[in-house]
Amino acid sequence: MYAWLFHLLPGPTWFRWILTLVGLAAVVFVLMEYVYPWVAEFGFFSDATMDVE
Amino acid sequence: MSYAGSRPPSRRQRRATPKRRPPRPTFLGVIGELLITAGLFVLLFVVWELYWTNLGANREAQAHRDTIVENFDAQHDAGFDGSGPDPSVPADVTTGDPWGMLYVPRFGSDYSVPVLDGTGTEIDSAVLGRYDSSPRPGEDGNLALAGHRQTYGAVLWDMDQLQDGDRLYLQTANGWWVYETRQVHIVQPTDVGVLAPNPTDPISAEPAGQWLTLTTCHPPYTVLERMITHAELVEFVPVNDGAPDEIADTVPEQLFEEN
Repeated sequence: MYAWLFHLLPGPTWFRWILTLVGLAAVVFVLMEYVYPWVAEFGFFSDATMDVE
Repeated sequence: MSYAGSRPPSRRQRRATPKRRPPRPTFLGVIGELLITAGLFVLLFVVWELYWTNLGANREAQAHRDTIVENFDAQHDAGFDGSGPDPSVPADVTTGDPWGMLYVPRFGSDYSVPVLDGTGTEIDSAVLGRYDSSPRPGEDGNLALAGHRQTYGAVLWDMDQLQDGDRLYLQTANGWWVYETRQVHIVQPTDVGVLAPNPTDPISAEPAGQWLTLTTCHPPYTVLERMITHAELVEFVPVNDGAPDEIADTVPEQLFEEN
């Protein structure tokens, strides 16, 4: 699938690699800043507080 | 010219020939690659939790320290001698500015952590958060603080190193509340007796003395249990008397000025 997507990118090979890296960086950024903080709120990995209530 | 077709293709011709296309993705191929991607996302989550959260947390904690330095001077009440609730600390748990700093020499000579109110996302920044049920320093009862063990600055990573008798110094604008460790133990997350007004006798609702309780997760990297420290108040040192010897080098210069 990724080989196929890579093939669909426009431009010469070096330009496709740049596009790929930019895309990867964007995905990692969205995960780190938005998705993971949201997941962490469920507290299955780190919870320092007592279960009050 | 007649033999042109049998010549090897020139550079230009080679470039012009279309690239070999990758085979069309198959259904199973797509599923497989998505599963590999999901696995990488999970690994990246671990990186985020153990590394990324600490970066941001330490930045935010530094901002809290700056706030404390800014506010302490105005909040200082020179007439307060340690009898009764500390007036520089909010009576009820609100979510606002940090109101204190905790120093624990056992955790290192540079250990100073801002203390503020709230145990939700408030503690996601290398700070300790006060539980809703907690009184002010100087009030009878059990002042409980929560802090993370291995994420968001990992402020209580070393809790297992604490020994009975180790001192904890909680600084407010008015001075240092000095507590001595009495017990470090491991409990179930549901064992809320550790937050009771008298942690040594959780059944009774009556406070007995002034306690400081710290809670964090245990074992590290899990949420299965909680590690708890109970410490009892032994003295109050007003700001004007200067920082206690044990933490004299740890207290930031700006919080050490005599008023």
